[in-house]
Amino acid sequence: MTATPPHPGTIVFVDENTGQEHLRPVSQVPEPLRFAPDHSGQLQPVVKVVARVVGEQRTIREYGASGEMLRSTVQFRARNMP
Amino acid sequence: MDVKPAAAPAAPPPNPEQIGATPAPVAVPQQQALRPDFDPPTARDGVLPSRAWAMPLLDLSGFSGKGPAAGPLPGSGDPFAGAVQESSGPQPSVYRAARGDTWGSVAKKLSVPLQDLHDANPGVKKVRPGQLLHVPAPAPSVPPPSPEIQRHIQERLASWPEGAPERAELQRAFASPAFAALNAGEQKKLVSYASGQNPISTSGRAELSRLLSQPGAAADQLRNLLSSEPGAPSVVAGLPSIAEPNRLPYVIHGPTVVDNAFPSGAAPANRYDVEIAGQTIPVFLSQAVEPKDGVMHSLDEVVKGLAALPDSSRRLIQQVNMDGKRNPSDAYWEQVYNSPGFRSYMTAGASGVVDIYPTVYQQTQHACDASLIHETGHILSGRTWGNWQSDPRWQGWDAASQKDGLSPSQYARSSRTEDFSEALTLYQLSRGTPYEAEYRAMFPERFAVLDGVLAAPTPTQ
Repeated sequence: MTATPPHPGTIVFVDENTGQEHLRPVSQVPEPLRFAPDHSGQLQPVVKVVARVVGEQRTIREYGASGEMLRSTVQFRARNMP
Repeated sequence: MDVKPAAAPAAPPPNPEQIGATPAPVAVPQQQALRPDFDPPTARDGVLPSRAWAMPLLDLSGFSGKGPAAGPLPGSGDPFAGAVQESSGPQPSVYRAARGDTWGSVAKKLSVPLQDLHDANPGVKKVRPGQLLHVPAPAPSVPPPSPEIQRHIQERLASWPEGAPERAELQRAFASPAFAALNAGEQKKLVSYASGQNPISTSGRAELSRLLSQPGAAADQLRNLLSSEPGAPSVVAGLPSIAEPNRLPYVIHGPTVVDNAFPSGAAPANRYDVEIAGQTIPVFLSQAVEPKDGVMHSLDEVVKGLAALPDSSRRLIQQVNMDGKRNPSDAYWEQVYNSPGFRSYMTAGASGVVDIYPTVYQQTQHACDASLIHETGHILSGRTWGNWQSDPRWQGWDAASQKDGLSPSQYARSSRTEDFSEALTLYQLSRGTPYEAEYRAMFPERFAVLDGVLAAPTPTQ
Protein backbone atom coordinates (compact mmCIF):
# COMPACT_ATOMS: atom_id res chain seq x y z
CA MET A 1 0.00 0.00 0.00
CA THR A 2 1.30 3.43 -0.91
CA ALA A 3 0.87 7.00 0.26
CA THR A 4 -2.59 8.51 0.12
CA PRO A 5 -3.23 10.32 -3.18
CA PRO A 6 -5.19 13.58 -3.35
CA HIS A 7 -8.96 13.25 -3.25
CA PRO A 8 -11.18 15.09 -5.77
CA GLY A 9 -13.11 16.50 -2.83
CA THR A 10 -16.55 14.92 -2.92
CA ILE A 11 -18.16 11.50 -2.75
CA VAL A 12 -21.58 10.84 -4.23
CA PHE A 13 -23.73 8.34 -2.35
CA VAL A 14 -26.32 6.74 -4.62
CA ASP A 15 -29.40 4.95 -3.34
CA GLU A 16 -30.32 2.65 -6.20
CA ASN A 17 -33.70 1.86 -4.71
CA THR A 18 -34.89 5.45 -4.64
CA GLY A 19 -32.60 6.97 -7.24
CA GLN A 20 -31.57 9.62 -4.74
CA GLU A 21 -28.01 10.92 -4.77
CA HIS A 22 -26.31 12.62 -1.86
CA LEU A 23 -23.13 14.57 -2.60
CA ARG A 24 -20.89 14.90 0.45
CA PRO A 25 -17.65 16.86 0.86
CA VAL A 26 -14.94 14.36 1.64
CA SER A 27 -14.12 16.27 4.81
CA GLN A 28 -17.50 15.14 6.20
CA VAL A 29 -16.90 11.49 5.37
CA PRO A 30 -15.12 9.21 7.86
CA GLU A 31 -11.49 8.60 7.02
CA PRO A 32 -11.78 4.85 6.27
CA LEU A 33 -14.41 5.56 3.61
CA ARG A 34 -12.40 8.15 1.69
CA PHE A 35 -9.87 5.78 0.13
CA ALA A 36 -9.63 2.11 -0.75
CA PRO A 37 -6.91 -0.02 -2.35
CA ASP A 38 -7.25 -0.98 -6.01
CA HIS A 39 -6.31 -4.33 -7.54
CA SER A 40 -2.62 -3.55 -7.17
CA GLY A 41 -2.93 -2.43 -3.56
CA GLN A 42 -2.56 1.27 -4.48
CA LEU A 43 -4.88 3.51 -2.46
CA GLN A 44 -7.46 5.25 -4.64
CA PRO A 45 -9.93 7.96 -3.69
CA VAL A 46 -13.48 6.67 -3.39
CA VAL A 47 -15.72 8.97 -5.43
CA LYS A 48 -18.97 7.02 -5.64
CA VAL A 49 -20.77 4.68 -3.26
CA VAL A 50 -23.85 2.79 -4.46
CA ALA A 51 -26.29 1.07 -2.10
CA ARG A 52 -29.05 -1.31 -3.05
CA VAL A 53 -31.45 -3.14 -0.78
CA VAL A 54 -32.67 -6.55 -1.91
CA GLY A 55 -34.90 -8.37 0.51
CA GLU A 56 -33.18 -8.58 3.85
CA GLN A 57 -29.77 -7.56 2.61
CA ARG A 58 -28.08 -4.45 1.31
CA THR A 59 -25.03 -4.23 -0.88
CA ILE A 60 -22.61 -1.33 -0.79
CA ARG A 61 -20.26 -0.85 -3.75
CA GLU A 62 -17.42 1.69 -3.54
CA TYR A 63 -15.91 3.00 -6.77
CA GLY A 64 -12.76 4.91 -7.70
CA ALA A 65 -12.45 7.78 -10.14
CA SER A 66 -11.80 5.41 -13.07
CA GLY A 67 -14.98 3.47 -12.28
CA GLU A 68 -13.13 0.51 -10.80
CA MET A 69 -15.05 -1.26 -8.05
CA LEU A 70 -12.74 -0.95 -5.08
CA ARG A 71 -14.79 -2.63 -2.37
CA SER A 72 -17.97 -4.64 -2.21
CA THR A 73 -19.82 -5.12 1.07
CA VAL A 74 -22.88 -7.20 1.88
CA GLN A 75 -24.96 -6.19 4.88
CA PHE A 76 -27.81 -8.02 6.58
CA ARG A 77 -30.83 -6.35 8.06
CA ALA A 78 -30.60 -6.75 11.81
CA ARG A 79 -33.98 -6.65 13.48
CA ASN A 80 -34.10 -6.27 17.24
CA MET A 81 -30.56 -5.01 17.27
CA PRO A 82 -28.99 -4.83 20.69
CA MET B 1 -36.03 -23.79 -35.87
CA ASP B 2 -38.61 -21.33 -34.76
CA VAL B 3 -42.25 -22.23 -34.84
CA LYS B 4 -44.50 -19.43 -35.85
CA PRO B 5 -47.44 -18.66 -33.60
CA ALA B 6 -50.50 -20.59 -34.62
CA ALA B 7 -52.96 -18.62 -36.66
CA ALA B 8 -56.50 -18.23 -35.46
CA PRO B 9 -58.54 -21.16 -36.71
CA ALA B 10 -60.54 -20.41 -39.82
CA ALA B 11 -64.26 -21.01 -39.55
CA PRO B 12 -65.63 -23.50 -40.25
CA PRO B 13 -62.74 -25.88 -40.89
CA PRO B 14 -63.41 -29.37 -42.06
CA ASN B 15 -62.42 -31.66 -39.25
CA PRO B 16 -61.05 -34.83 -40.82
CA GLU B 17 -60.15 -36.28 -37.43
CA GLN B 18 -63.63 -35.87 -36.05
CA ILE B 19 -65.34 -37.05 -39.15
CA GLY B 20 -62.91 -39.85 -39.68
CA ALA B 21 -63.95 -41.46 -36.42
CA THR B 22 -67.52 -41.69 -37.53
CA PRO B 23 -69.08 -43.45 -40.48
CA ALA B 24 -67.11 -42.21 -43.44
CA PRO B 25 -68.71 -39.26 -45.15
CA VAL B 26 -69.22 -39.39 -48.84
CA ALA B 27 -68.05 -36.45 -50.83
CA VAL B 28 -71.01 -35.05 -52.59
CA PRO B 29 -70.43 -33.12 -55.78
CA GLN B 30 -71.44 -29.54 -55.32
CA GLN B 31 -73.72 -29.70 -58.28
CA GLN B 32 -75.63 -32.57 -56.74
CA ALA B 33 -75.64 -30.99 -53.33
CA LEU B 34 -77.50 -28.04 -54.64
CA ARG B 35 -80.35 -30.26 -55.71
CA PRO B 36 -82.91 -30.23 -52.91
CA ASP B 37 -84.37 -33.52 -53.99
CA PHE B 38 -81.03 -35.29 -54.01
CA ASP B 39 -81.12 -38.25 -51.72
CA PRO B 40 -77.58 -39.18 -50.82
CA PRO B 41 -76.83 -42.84 -50.29
CA THR B 42 -75.07 -42.16 -46.98
CA ALA B 43 -77.63 -39.92 -45.41
CA ARG B 44 -79.03 -42.52 -43.11
CA ASP B 45 -77.07 -43.21 -39.92
CA GLY B 46 -74.17 -41.18 -41.18
CA VAL B 47 -72.42 -37.94 -40.71
CA LEU B 48 -73.05 -35.32 -43.25
CA PRO B 49 -70.26 -33.07 -44.37
CA SER B 50 -72.24 -29.92 -43.96
CA ARG B 51 -70.88 -27.78 -46.69
CA ALA B 52 -71.84 -30.44 -49.18
CA TRP B 53 -75.43 -29.77 -48.21
CA ALA B 54 -76.89 -26.50 -49.20
CA MET B 55 -80.39 -27.55 -48.34
CA PRO B 56 -81.56 -26.12 -45.00
CA LEU B 57 -81.34 -29.06 -42.69
CA LEU B 58 -81.80 -26.81 -39.72
CA ASP B 59 -82.29 -23.14 -39.20
CA LEU B 60 -79.88 -22.20 -36.43
CA SER B 61 -80.84 -18.56 -36.32
CA GLY B 62 -82.87 -19.19 -33.22
CA PHE B 63 -80.17 -21.09 -31.41
CA SER B 64 -80.69 -20.46 -27.73
CA GLY B 65 -77.74 -22.29 -26.32
CA LYS B 66 -80.05 -24.34 -24.14
CA GLY B 67 -80.08 -27.34 -26.34
CA PRO B 68 -82.00 -27.93 -29.53
CA ALA B 69 -85.48 -29.28 -29.47
CA ALA B 70 -86.20 -32.81 -30.46
CA GLY B 71 -88.08 -33.41 -33.64
CA PRO B 72 -87.61 -34.07 -37.27
CA LEU B 73 -85.19 -31.92 -39.13
CA PRO B 74 -87.17 -29.32 -41.02
CA GLY B 75 -87.72 -30.28 -44.55
CA SER B 76 -85.83 -33.48 -44.19
CA GLY B 77 -88.61 -35.98 -43.73
CA ASP B 78 -86.45 -37.58 -41.07
CA PRO B 79 -84.01 -39.27 -43.39
CA PHE B 80 -80.99 -38.04 -41.46
CA ALA B 81 -80.93 -39.69 -38.05
CA GLY B 82 -77.37 -39.71 -36.81
CA ALA B 83 -76.47 -36.87 -39.10
CA VAL B 84 -74.37 -33.89 -38.32
CA GLN B 85 -74.48 -30.53 -39.92
CA GLU B 86 -71.79 -27.94 -39.69
CA SER B 87 -72.88 -24.39 -39.97
CA SER B 88 -70.99 -21.95 -42.10
CA GLY B 89 -70.79 -19.24 -39.45
CA PRO B 90 -69.87 -19.15 -35.81
CA GLN B 91 -72.81 -21.37 -34.87
CA PRO B 92 -72.05 -24.88 -33.75
CA SER B 93 -72.65 -28.03 -35.74
CA VAL B 94 -75.56 -30.19 -34.78
CA TYR B 95 -76.06 -33.91 -34.60
CA ARG B 96 -79.33 -35.77 -34.70
CA ALA B 97 -79.40 -38.72 -32.38
CA ALA B 98 -80.19 -42.12 -33.79
CA ARG B 99 -81.93 -44.95 -32.02
CA GLY B 100 -79.68 -46.43 -29.35
CA ASP B 101 -77.49 -43.34 -29.07
CA THR B 102 -76.28 -42.37 -25.62
CA TRP B 103 -74.12 -39.49 -24.47
CA GLY B 104 -71.16 -41.78 -24.51
CA SER B 105 -71.82 -43.32 -27.90
CA VAL B 106 -72.40 -39.91 -29.48
CA ALA B 107 -69.22 -38.51 -27.96
CA LYS B 108 -67.33 -41.51 -29.23
CA LYS B 109 -68.93 -41.32 -32.65
CA LEU B 110 -68.07 -37.66 -32.98
CA SER B 111 -64.67 -37.98 -31.32
CA VAL B 112 -65.37 -35.22 -28.88
CA PRO B 113 -64.77 -35.25 -25.13
CA LEU B 114 -67.90 -36.35 -23.29
CA GLN B 115 -67.80 -33.36 -20.96
CA ASP B 116 -67.53 -30.99 -23.93
CA LEU B 117 -70.64 -32.61 -25.42
CA HIS B 118 -72.52 -32.15 -22.15
CA ASP B 119 -71.33 -28.56 -21.90
CA ALA B 120 -72.51 -27.82 -25.44
CA ASN B 121 -76.00 -29.10 -24.60
CA PRO B 122 -76.80 -27.77 -21.16
CA GLY B 123 -80.57 -28.19 -21.55
CA VAL B 124 -80.46 -31.84 -22.58
CA LYS B 125 -80.67 -34.41 -19.84
CA LYS B 126 -81.10 -37.58 -21.86
CA VAL B 127 -80.36 -38.44 -25.46
CA ARG B 128 -83.46 -39.56 -27.32
CA PRO B 129 -83.85 -40.68 -30.91
CA GLY B 130 -84.31 -37.62 -33.05
CA GLN B 131 -82.75 -35.39 -30.42
CA LEU B 132 -80.68 -32.60 -31.91
CA LEU B 133 -77.40 -32.09 -30.15
CA HIS B 134 -74.94 -29.30 -30.57
CA VAL B 135 -71.53 -30.63 -31.47
CA PRO B 136 -68.79 -28.78 -29.61
CA ALA B 137 -66.19 -27.11 -31.73
CA PRO B 138 -63.08 -29.20 -31.96
CA ALA B 139 -60.06 -28.03 -30.02
CA PRO B 140 -57.69 -26.15 -32.27
CA SER B 141 -54.99 -28.43 -33.53
CA VAL B 142 -51.69 -27.88 -31.76
CA PRO B 143 -48.65 -28.21 -33.94
CA PRO B 144 -46.04 -30.42 -32.33
CA PRO B 145 -42.80 -28.80 -31.21
CA SER B 146 -39.76 -29.17 -33.44
CA PRO B 147 -37.75 -32.37 -33.08
CA GLU B 148 -35.07 -30.44 -31.22
CA ILE B 149 -37.57 -29.13 -28.68
CA GLN B 150 -39.18 -32.56 -28.39
CA ARG B 151 -35.77 -34.02 -27.57
CA HIS B 152 -35.21 -31.26 -25.03
CA ILE B 153 -38.59 -31.99 -23.44
CA GLN B 154 -37.83 -35.70 -23.26
CA GLU B 155 -34.45 -35.05 -21.69
CA ARG B 156 -35.86 -32.73 -19.04
CA LEU B 157 -38.84 -34.98 -18.29
CA ALA B 158 -36.55 -37.97 -17.90
CA SER B 159 -35.59 -36.72 -14.44
CA TRP B 160 -39.18 -37.28 -13.30
CA PRO B 161 -40.35 -40.82 -12.61
CA GLU B 162 -43.14 -42.23 -14.74
CA GLY B 163 -46.43 -41.46 -13.05
CA ALA B 164 -45.14 -38.44 -11.17
CA PRO B 165 -47.86 -35.78 -11.14
CA GLU B 166 -45.27 -33.14 -12.02
CA ARG B 167 -44.35 -35.07 -15.14
CA ALA B 168 -47.98 -35.26 -16.28
CA GLU B 169 -48.44 -31.60 -15.42
CA LEU B 170 -45.45 -30.66 -17.56
CA GLN B 171 -46.58 -32.85 -20.44
CA ARG B 172 -49.94 -31.09 -20.45
CA ALA B 173 -48.24 -27.72 -20.38
CA PHE B 174 -45.94 -28.55 -23.28
CA ALA B 175 -48.90 -29.83 -25.33
CA SER B 176 -50.94 -26.68 -24.77
CA PRO B 177 -51.81 -24.24 -27.55
CA ALA B 178 -50.15 -21.44 -25.57
CA PHE B 179 -46.87 -23.34 -25.51
CA ALA B 180 -47.19 -24.16 -29.22
CA ALA B 181 -47.52 -20.46 -30.00
CA LEU B 182 -44.12 -19.68 -28.49
CA ASN B 183 -41.10 -19.63 -30.75
CA ALA B 184 -38.54 -22.40 -30.38
CA GLY B 185 -36.20 -20.30 -28.27
CA GLU B 186 -38.99 -19.43 -25.84
CA GLN B 187 -40.14 -23.03 -25.74
CA LYS B 188 -36.66 -24.22 -24.87
CA LYS B 189 -36.33 -21.65 -22.09
CA LEU B 190 -39.71 -22.53 -20.64
CA VAL B 191 -38.96 -26.24 -20.69
CA SER B 192 -35.63 -25.68 -18.92
CA TYR B 193 -37.17 -23.24 -16.48
CA ALA B 194 -40.20 -25.27 -15.44
CA SER B 195 -39.11 -28.88 -15.66
CA GLY B 196 -36.41 -29.02 -13.00
CA GLN B 197 -36.72 -30.21 -9.44
CA ASN B 198 -34.70 -27.30 -8.08
CA PRO B 199 -36.36 -24.53 -6.04
CA ILE B 200 -36.37 -22.01 -8.89
CA SER B 201 -38.13 -24.42 -11.24
CA THR B 202 -40.55 -25.57 -8.58
CA SER B 203 -41.88 -22.06 -8.08
CA GLY B 204 -41.92 -21.41 -11.82
CA ARG B 205 -43.84 -24.63 -12.50
CA ALA B 206 -46.50 -23.73 -9.97
CA GLU B 207 -47.09 -20.43 -11.72
CA LEU B 208 -47.09 -22.13 -15.13
CA SER B 209 -49.80 -24.54 -13.99
CA ARG B 210 -51.84 -21.71 -12.56
CA LEU B 211 -51.66 -19.80 -15.84
CA LEU B 212 -52.57 -22.78 -17.99
CA SER B 213 -55.50 -23.69 -15.79
CA GLN B 214 -57.17 -20.45 -16.79
CA PRO B 215 -59.44 -20.58 -19.84
CA GLY B 216 -57.82 -19.15 -22.92
CA ALA B 217 -54.29 -19.05 -21.53
CA ALA B 218 -52.18 -17.34 -24.15
CA ALA B 219 -48.58 -17.40 -25.24
CA ASP B 220 -48.06 -13.85 -24.01
CA GLN B 221 -48.81 -14.99 -20.48
CA LEU B 222 -46.06 -17.57 -20.80
CA ARG B 223 -43.74 -14.91 -22.15
CA ASN B 224 -44.53 -12.77 -19.12
CA LEU B 225 -43.78 -15.76 -16.94
CA LEU B 226 -40.37 -16.08 -18.56
CA SER B 227 -39.58 -12.41 -18.18
CA SER B 228 -40.85 -12.00 -14.62
CA GLU B 229 -39.50 -15.34 -13.38
CA PRO B 230 -41.61 -15.69 -10.27
CA GLY B 231 -39.42 -18.54 -9.08
CA ALA B 232 -36.20 -16.59 -9.05
CA PRO B 233 -34.96 -15.91 -5.51
CA SER B 234 -34.15 -12.36 -4.44
CA VAL B 235 -30.53 -13.49 -4.10
CA VAL B 236 -28.90 -16.84 -4.86
CA ALA B 237 -27.64 -17.03 -1.27
CA GLY B 238 -31.31 -17.23 -0.26
CA LEU B 239 -31.80 -20.57 -2.02
CA PRO B 240 -31.82 -23.49 0.37
CA SER B 241 -28.64 -25.49 0.60
CA ILE B 242 -29.31 -28.98 -0.67
CA ALA B 243 -25.91 -30.56 -0.57
CA GLU B 244 -22.47 -29.99 0.79
CA PRO B 245 -20.54 -28.07 -1.87
CA ASN B 246 -17.29 -29.39 -3.21
CA ARG B 247 -14.51 -28.34 -0.85
CA LEU B 248 -10.86 -28.83 -1.41
CA PRO B 249 -8.83 -30.30 1.44
CA TYR B 250 -7.06 -27.75 3.60
CA VAL B 251 -4.48 -27.52 6.34
CA ILE B 252 -4.45 -24.86 9.04
CA HIS B 253 -1.11 -23.76 10.48
CA GLY B 254 -0.78 -21.65 13.60
CA PRO B 255 -1.69 -19.62 15.34
CA THR B 256 0.92 -16.96 15.85
CA VAL B 257 -0.05 -13.88 17.85
CA VAL B 258 0.35 -10.66 15.90
CA ASP B 259 -1.07 -7.17 15.70
CA ASN B 260 -3.34 -6.68 12.73
CA ALA B 261 -5.08 -3.71 11.13
CA PHE B 262 -8.79 -4.58 11.13
CA PRO B 263 -11.46 -2.27 9.69
CA SER B 264 -12.49 -1.52 13.29
CA GLY B 265 -8.90 -0.66 14.16
CA ALA B 266 -5.60 -2.28 15.09
CA ALA B 267 -5.98 -5.21 17.45
CA PRO B 268 -4.12 -8.31 18.62
CA ALA B 269 -4.96 -11.31 16.50
CA ASN B 270 -4.22 -14.96 16.00
CA ARG B 271 -2.76 -15.46 12.57
CA TYR B 272 -3.49 -18.78 10.89
CA ASP B 273 -1.95 -19.79 7.59
CA VAL B 274 -4.43 -21.81 5.61
CA GLU B 275 -3.08 -24.07 2.89
CA ILE B 276 -5.44 -24.95 0.07
CA ALA B 277 -4.27 -26.44 -3.22
CA GLY B 278 -0.76 -25.12 -2.79
CA GLN B 279 -1.92 -21.61 -1.87
CA THR B 280 -1.38 -20.12 1.58
CA ILE B 281 -3.93 -17.58 2.78
CA PRO B 282 -3.29 -15.73 6.04
CA VAL B 283 -6.42 -15.53 8.18
CA PHE B 284 -6.38 -13.05 11.09
CA LEU B 285 -8.78 -13.83 13.91
CA SER B 286 -9.23 -10.82 16.17
CA GLN B 287 -8.69 -11.28 19.88
CA ALA B 288 -10.42 -7.97 20.58
CA VAL B 289 -13.93 -9.32 20.43
CA GLU B 290 -16.80 -7.09 21.40
CA PRO B 291 -19.61 -9.46 22.49
CA LYS B 292 -22.28 -6.79 22.16
CA ASP B 293 -21.38 -6.49 18.46
CA GLY B 294 -22.71 -9.95 17.77
CA VAL B 295 -21.65 -13.42 16.77
CA MET B 296 -18.53 -14.29 14.80
CA HIS B 297 -17.97 -17.16 12.45
CA SER B 298 -15.59 -19.79 13.72
CA LEU B 299 -12.22 -20.10 12.04
CA ASP B 300 -13.24 -23.48 10.67
CA GLU B 301 -16.37 -22.08 9.02
CA VAL B 302 -14.37 -19.38 7.26
CA VAL B 303 -11.71 -21.83 6.13
CA LYS B 304 -14.38 -24.21 4.84
CA GLY B 305 -15.80 -21.27 2.91
CA LEU B 306 -12.40 -20.59 1.36
CA ALA B 307 -12.15 -24.26 0.42
CA ALA B 308 -15.50 -24.05 -1.42
CA LEU B 309 -14.46 -21.13 -3.62
CA PRO B 310 -13.69 -21.53 -7.29
CA ASP B 311 -9.95 -21.87 -7.61
CA SER B 312 -9.79 -18.70 -9.76
CA SER B 313 -11.49 -16.65 -7.05
CA ARG B 314 -9.54 -18.09 -4.15
CA ARG B 315 -6.22 -17.36 -5.81
CA LEU B 316 -7.10 -13.66 -5.82
CA ILE B 317 -7.45 -13.59 -2.02
CA GLN B 318 -4.46 -12.11 -0.27
CA GLN B 319 -5.75 -12.03 3.30
CA VAL B 320 -8.84 -12.61 5.40
CA ASN B 321 -9.61 -10.46 8.45
CA MET B 322 -12.09 -11.82 11.00
CA ASP B 323 -12.92 -8.61 12.79
CA GLY B 324 -14.16 -8.86 16.37
CA LYS B 325 -16.16 -5.64 16.13
CA ARG B 326 -18.76 -4.31 13.76
CA ASN B 327 -17.80 -2.36 10.67
CA PRO B 328 -17.40 1.27 11.72
CA SER B 329 -18.71 2.34 8.30
CA ASP B 330 -22.17 0.97 9.16
CA ALA B 331 -23.04 4.04 11.18
CA TYR B 332 -22.18 6.46 8.39
CA TRP B 333 -24.03 4.48 5.71
CA GLU B 334 -27.01 4.26 8.01
CA GLN B 335 -27.03 8.02 8.30
CA VAL B 336 -26.33 8.95 4.68
CA TYR B 337 -28.90 6.49 3.28
CA ASN B 338 -31.33 7.14 6.11
CA SER B 339 -31.95 3.42 6.52
CA PRO B 340 -31.14 2.04 9.94
CA GLY B 341 -30.87 -1.62 10.74
CA PHE B 342 -28.20 -2.96 8.39
CA ARG B 343 -25.04 -4.57 9.66
CA SER B 344 -22.01 -5.41 7.53
CA TYR B 345 -21.32 -9.10 7.12
CA MET B 346 -18.52 -9.28 4.58
CA THR B 347 -16.39 -6.99 2.40
CA ALA B 348 -14.20 -8.01 -0.51
CA GLY B 349 -11.67 -5.51 -1.81
CA ALA B 350 -10.19 -5.27 -5.28
CA SER B 351 -6.77 -5.88 -3.74
CA GLY B 352 -7.86 -9.32 -2.51
CA VAL B 353 -8.52 -8.53 1.16
CA VAL B 354 -11.69 -10.03 2.64
CA ASP B 355 -13.14 -8.65 5.89
CA ILE B 356 -15.74 -10.61 7.87
CA TYR B 357 -17.67 -8.97 10.72
CA PRO B 358 -19.71 -10.24 13.63
CA THR B 359 -23.45 -10.29 12.99
CA VAL B 360 -26.48 -10.02 15.23
CA TYR B 361 -27.51 -13.57 14.43
CA GLN B 362 -25.29 -16.56 13.81
CA GLN B 363 -24.76 -16.98 10.07
CA THR B 364 -24.80 -20.41 8.49
CA GLN B 365 -22.04 -22.14 6.61
CA HIS B 366 -24.19 -21.74 3.50
CA ALA B 367 -24.30 -17.96 3.99
CA CYS B 368 -20.53 -17.90 4.41
CA ASP B 369 -19.98 -20.02 1.30
CA ALA B 370 -22.40 -18.05 -0.88
CA SER B 371 -21.23 -14.62 0.28
CA LEU B 372 -17.58 -15.49 -0.23
CA ILE B 373 -18.26 -16.71 -3.75
CA HIS B 374 -20.41 -13.70 -4.60
CA GLU B 375 -18.18 -10.97 -3.16
CA THR B 376 -14.91 -12.41 -4.45
CA GLY B 377 -16.70 -12.91 -7.75
CA HIS B 378 -16.59 -9.13 -8.16
CA ILE B 379 -12.81 -9.25 -7.84
CA LEU B 380 -12.64 -12.08 -10.38
CA SER B 381 -14.85 -10.41 -12.96
CA GLY B 382 -13.06 -7.08 -12.53
CA ARG B 383 -9.69 -8.74 -13.05
CA THR B 384 -10.98 -10.70 -16.02
CA TRP B 385 -12.87 -8.03 -17.95
CA GLY B 386 -12.06 -4.73 -16.23
CA ASN B 387 -14.47 -1.99 -15.26
CA TRP B 388 -17.95 -3.46 -15.57
CA GLN B 389 -19.44 -0.08 -16.41
CA SER B 390 -17.28 0.68 -19.43
CA ASP B 391 -14.96 -2.11 -20.51
CA PRO B 392 -16.01 -3.72 -23.83
CA ARG B 393 -14.66 -7.07 -22.67
CA TRP B 394 -17.92 -7.46 -20.75
CA GLN B 395 -19.86 -7.74 -24.00
CA GLY B 396 -19.38 -11.51 -24.15
CA TRP B 397 -21.04 -11.84 -20.77
CA ASP B 398 -23.85 -9.54 -21.87
CA ALA B 399 -24.47 -11.70 -24.94
CA ALA B 400 -24.54 -14.87 -22.83
CA SER B 401 -26.90 -13.30 -20.35
CA GLN B 402 -29.21 -12.06 -23.08
CA LYS B 403 -29.25 -15.42 -24.83
CA ASP B 404 -30.06 -17.27 -21.61
CA GLY B 405 -32.93 -14.90 -20.98
CA LEU B 406 -33.51 -16.19 -17.48
CA SER B 407 -31.78 -14.65 -14.46
CA PRO B 408 -30.35 -16.60 -11.52
CA SER B 409 -31.96 -14.14 -9.09
CA GLN B 410 -33.88 -10.90 -8.96
CA TYR B 411 -30.75 -9.15 -7.74
CA ALA B 412 -28.80 -10.41 -10.76
CA ARG B 413 -30.87 -8.07 -12.89
CA SER B 414 -29.50 -4.97 -11.22
CA SER B 415 -26.21 -4.91 -13.20
CA ARG B 416 -23.88 -7.09 -15.23
CA THR B 417 -21.42 -7.40 -12.35
CA GLU B 418 -24.13 -8.65 -9.99
CA ASP B 419 -25.40 -10.95 -12.72
CA PHE B 420 -21.91 -12.43 -12.98
CA SER B 421 -21.49 -12.88 -9.22
CA GLU B 422 -24.95 -14.37 -8.80
CA ALA B 423 -24.46 -16.77 -11.70
CA LEU B 424 -21.04 -17.73 -10.34
CA THR B 425 -22.56 -18.45 -6.92
CA LEU B 426 -25.23 -20.68 -8.44
CA TYR B 427 -22.63 -22.37 -10.65
CA GLN B 428 -20.23 -23.11 -7.82
CA LEU B 429 -22.74 -24.15 -5.17
CA SER B 430 -24.58 -26.50 -7.51
CA ARG B 431 -21.47 -28.30 -8.76
CA GLY B 432 -21.77 -32.01 -8.11
CA THR B 433 -25.32 -31.68 -6.80
CA PRO B 434 -28.49 -33.10 -8.39
CA TYR B 435 -29.36 -29.59 -9.57
CA GLU B 436 -26.19 -28.93 -11.53
CA ALA B 437 -27.55 -30.22 -14.84
CA GLU B 438 -30.83 -28.39 -14.33
CA TYR B 439 -29.16 -25.05 -13.70
CA ARG B 440 -26.83 -25.62 -16.63
CA ALA B 441 -29.88 -26.19 -18.82
CA MET B 442 -31.43 -22.98 -17.52
CA PHE B 443 -28.29 -20.86 -17.93
CA PRO B 444 -26.31 -22.65 -20.63
CA GLU B 445 -24.60 -19.60 -22.06
CA ARG B 446 -23.50 -18.11 -18.76
CA PHE B 447 -22.31 -21.46 -17.48
CA ALA B 448 -20.28 -21.94 -20.66
CA VAL B 449 -18.63 -18.55 -20.14
CA LEU B 450 -17.95 -19.44 -16.51
CA ASP B 451 -16.42 -22.74 -17.61
CA GLY B 452 -13.97 -20.69 -19.65
CA VAL B 453 -13.26 -18.08 -16.99
CA LEU B 454 -12.58 -20.70 -14.33
CA ALA B 455 -10.44 -22.81 -16.64
CA ALA B 456 -8.27 -19.85 -17.62
CA PRO B 457 -5.16 -18.89 -15.65
CA THR B 458 -5.99 -16.67 -12.68
CA PRO B 459 -6.06 -13.10 -13.95
CA THR B 460 -3.54 -10.78 -12.40
CA GLN B 461 -4.72 -7.45 -13.73
